[in-house]
Amino acid sequence: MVLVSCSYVPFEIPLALGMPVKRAVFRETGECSDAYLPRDFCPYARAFMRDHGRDHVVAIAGSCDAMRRAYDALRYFKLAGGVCFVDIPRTSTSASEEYYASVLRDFALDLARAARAGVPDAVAPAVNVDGDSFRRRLIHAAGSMNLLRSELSGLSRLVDEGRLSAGEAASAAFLANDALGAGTNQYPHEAPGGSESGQREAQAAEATDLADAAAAVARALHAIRTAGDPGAGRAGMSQCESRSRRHGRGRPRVGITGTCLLERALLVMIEQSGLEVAFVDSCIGLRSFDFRVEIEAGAGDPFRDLARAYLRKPPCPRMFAGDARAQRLRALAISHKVRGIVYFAPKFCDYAYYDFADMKRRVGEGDGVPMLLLETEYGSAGSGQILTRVTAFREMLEGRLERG
Amino acid sequence: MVGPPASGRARNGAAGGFRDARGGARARGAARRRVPQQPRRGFLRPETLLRNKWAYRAASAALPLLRARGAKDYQIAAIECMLSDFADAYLGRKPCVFTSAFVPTELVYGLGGVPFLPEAASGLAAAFGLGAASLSACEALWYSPDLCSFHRAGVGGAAAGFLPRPSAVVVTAHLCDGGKKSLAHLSALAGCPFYIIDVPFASSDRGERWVASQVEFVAEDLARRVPGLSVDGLPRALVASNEALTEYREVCALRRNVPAPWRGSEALNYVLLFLWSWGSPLLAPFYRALRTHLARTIDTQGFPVQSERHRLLWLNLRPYYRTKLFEHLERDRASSVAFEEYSFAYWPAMDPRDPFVSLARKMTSNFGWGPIERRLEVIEKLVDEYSIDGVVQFAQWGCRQSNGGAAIIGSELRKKGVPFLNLDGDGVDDGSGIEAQSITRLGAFIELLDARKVGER
Amino acid sequence: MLVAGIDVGSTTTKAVLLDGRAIVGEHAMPTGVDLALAAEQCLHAACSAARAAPEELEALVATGYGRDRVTRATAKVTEITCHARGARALVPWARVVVDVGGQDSKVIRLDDDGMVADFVMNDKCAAGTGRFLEVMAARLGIALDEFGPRWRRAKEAARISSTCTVFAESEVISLLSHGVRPEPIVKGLCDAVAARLAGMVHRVGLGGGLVMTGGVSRNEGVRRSLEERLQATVTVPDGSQFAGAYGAALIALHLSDGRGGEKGKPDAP
Repeated sequence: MVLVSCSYVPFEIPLALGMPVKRAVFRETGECSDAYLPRDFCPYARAFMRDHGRDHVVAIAGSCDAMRRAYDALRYFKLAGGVCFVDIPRTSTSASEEYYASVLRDFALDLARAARAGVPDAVAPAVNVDGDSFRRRLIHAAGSMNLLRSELSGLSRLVDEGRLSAGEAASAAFLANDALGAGTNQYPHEAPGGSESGQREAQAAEATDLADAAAAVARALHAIRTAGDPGAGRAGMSQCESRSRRHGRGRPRVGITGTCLLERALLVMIEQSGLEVAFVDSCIGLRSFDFRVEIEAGAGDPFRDLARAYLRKPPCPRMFAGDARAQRLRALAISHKVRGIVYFAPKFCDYAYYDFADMKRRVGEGDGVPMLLLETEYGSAGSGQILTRVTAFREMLEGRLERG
Repeated sequence: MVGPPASGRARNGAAGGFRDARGGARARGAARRRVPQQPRRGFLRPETLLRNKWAYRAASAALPLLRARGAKDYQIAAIECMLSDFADAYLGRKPCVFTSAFVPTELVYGLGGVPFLPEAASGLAAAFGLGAASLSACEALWYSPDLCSFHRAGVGGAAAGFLPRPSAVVVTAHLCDGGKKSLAHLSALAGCPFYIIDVPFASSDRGERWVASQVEFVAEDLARRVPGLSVDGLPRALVASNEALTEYREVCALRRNVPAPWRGSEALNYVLLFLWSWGSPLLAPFYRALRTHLARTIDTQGFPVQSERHRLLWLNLRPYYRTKLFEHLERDRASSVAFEEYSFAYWPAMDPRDPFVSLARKMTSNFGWGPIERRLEVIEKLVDEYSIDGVVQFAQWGCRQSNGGAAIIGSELRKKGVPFLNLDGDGVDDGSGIEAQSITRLGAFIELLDARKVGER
Repeated sequence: MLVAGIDVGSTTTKAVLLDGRAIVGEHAMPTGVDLALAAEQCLHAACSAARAAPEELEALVATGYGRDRVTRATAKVTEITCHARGARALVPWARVVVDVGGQDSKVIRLDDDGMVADFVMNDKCAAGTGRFLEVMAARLGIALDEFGPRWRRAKEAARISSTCTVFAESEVISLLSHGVRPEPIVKGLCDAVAARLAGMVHRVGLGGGLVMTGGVSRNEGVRRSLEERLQATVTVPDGSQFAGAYGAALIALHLSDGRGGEKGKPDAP
């Protein structure tokens, strides 16, 4: 399984290689975090400091200084079967797209090597990542991912309409993520997707612990992964819509933004404290759903198509995209009619700290949308201090609502 | 590679005070929020003094006096170098280009501008007692105190009016996330063009070509957009840089001498100049004077730490405010910082006929960038070359790029029998209050080295 | 009509009883380990001062970090809203409220109508809170109410970390071992707390009447250090340590008859 650290790393590549892939999500920092990384490192980077097992490849993106050092520690202390580095540019010019395409091609080669370790040539000849067959796999994976992204984006619309809670939508996204990571390697001839055991695991997960909406998405996802049947996905969505209900009428509406949202529990905490979440602009949120990947079927470099799509997706605070981030946050705030924005910053996340000050100035003070900074660690959702801040923010917004 | 042109001029009351050379008018989008100011009044306020041409003339005129009072030639040369740049920047004599620490400054000198490094200026601010004021001005803008203080003091220094007004900002996507983001803020505040040069993590010819093409674009675009800049002077700056590099390599060779001919605490101050002045015609004279001084010190056996017991390699920067840390090390413990990681000239001589590739190579050859093995290799080389007994990493609060390697560096050095100390501290924030603890920890480290020496005998 | 506000803080629990708009009873006591018990006892004491019983209350608003333990409360409101409300009622021109309690410090900006416009709280670290001063006072072996007179006698301030209680404590020990007198240390400690608070004040923006509430507002040394640092007058109203409970009581009044708050108009104490 490939464990990915950043939303700029295309899932399409491992999927095309028949490798289960998921975005790394943790519940706590890793057991070796104190030994391998300083305490003033963000909890997410520190969470990687654990033994991931020999079967797992960890793909670390060059998101920030902390993740680069996490990459070193993962390799040096041999915490995973394989460790890849995905060097993501900071801008989305045509030259940086070209560079990123070459990075993605190397990433595919690294993964192919890892997936094939121990597989004799006679059983499975090496994949030619520049060949037509691999291109077709990429196109297929991109189609599945586009469908999944659009399903998750659809859930976000339900959240905006108050028919689904942000916590439930996040559950669906996390479940979808888990489902993508379930199963075993299918290198090299299986169609991209999971094995039977993966399906069984996904079904078991559905049976035991499914919020209504999340179940529909998981089934939709299941359909996408196994049959590639877009119709099944849509059916799942409509089922989900019919079960959804209106949430939080009259509560102050807020948007959520930040770098990396550590836990779903944070969203639940926000909603339980009496705020209505209208959107979640995070890397396990809209920034990962609101784009599509189109890979040309004929000639051309498919990695270039991937690079272009990912570098042009809604920018995360690590990117240098000029005003694009502020404009997007402003547009989200207006279109979702929010009264305030809650900014989640993992403690010691430099990009979040700089981005918050920037957004506070441009969107908060500039457009008069109050913003609340919450510095979080794993388990923060249960912290009294954090809860007091959120409740006070709600009271402040309610005061404004009352006065119209 | 291209930054957002004139990205987001300070909307709606970004705090801050970029002032023009006359010191009066504020930049576009000037402060609505009040930032904490120094209580000093009138012309003695640092922000006023820095923009007063008479202050520079007085400072230049005072140099012979300094010499008469015992200042060394190289110290005078360094002051001349900095005074020249500060006068160019604050008096508006040349277009001032803000750069992050690892942009090759030859680019700016070569274009006919003057570089200004807010991160390095933070060290100077701390040395002149302006660190606290800068940091407090930064906090008012909602920047977290958990960010590196070298970057915070840059942002706060601009807000408090201590920095000159930039004509453009150039950063690299290299190490130091805070460097590039804080400078993006300053560019928005000043409403000037912003450029970021992406640098690939792994070295390759292809990556180097990409960087070179970005440098070329930045140079040409700057020349087009900023009056007074032109690409014609680039070869000259590269020649000046090479000349300084030649002198500097001699300086480094002399510093291998045991005992150390130069006080490491002082050498760490000059790291700021080392980051700032490559490409300036005044850098080679400084290193020449330093070389002469070190050679004379060795000849006359006038070493700063006479019976040197231990030689340390110092990683990362130092506290730039007044501290007893080095006095303790050098006087009480008779130990020297023999060399510093940030004094290592890692790049090859440049080819003035091929300036963009040369500048790109300087960036891609930075040993702090890329996998940790690259930095380790340099550290181990320096340990050998400078006869190092122990390595101290100054763990600057909030510096992820450097501190994150501590576990691995410590482990590798210990394997080779070289003790390693990770010393927590803050280079700018003298309110971090860690000095007593630092002295104890450094003292204990020296005692450990003592015990090893006894064991060796 | 009797209403009350109770502020269950980390160190002290405070209760204020209102009959209409008039304060008819108030009480403060150490919180101890049993928050629910402290709340109950404190409420009883405030009520008995007004010859009333808690059962007679028409509304009770609980605030402070132990607010959820007040089972009797009709509503629970954060100390940020309550301190804003209380401070504005005590000082009608208040625009920035600095509330320093035992474990938290908050700076609140009020808008023209006296409503919360923005706020900032300290991070987890105890530096800049009442707890910090308590630890240091214990280390110095002097009472907290000695801080004011000692601050005034100090000719200079010792440099003390504003970043961390642990570092600050080791600095205090180091200063004492070097024979430094307590006065400059006291002033240094007050300056360290003030530095933290000033940073927070600058975040929400300094301007308009600056009011200090919470237990530490009684500490003259901290107040004067803050005034020096901000170059502004800090108003500490009578009953400043009750501001949270008073604000809670005013909100209770508003809840019970819909007029107590009269949003937009500062309440008269």
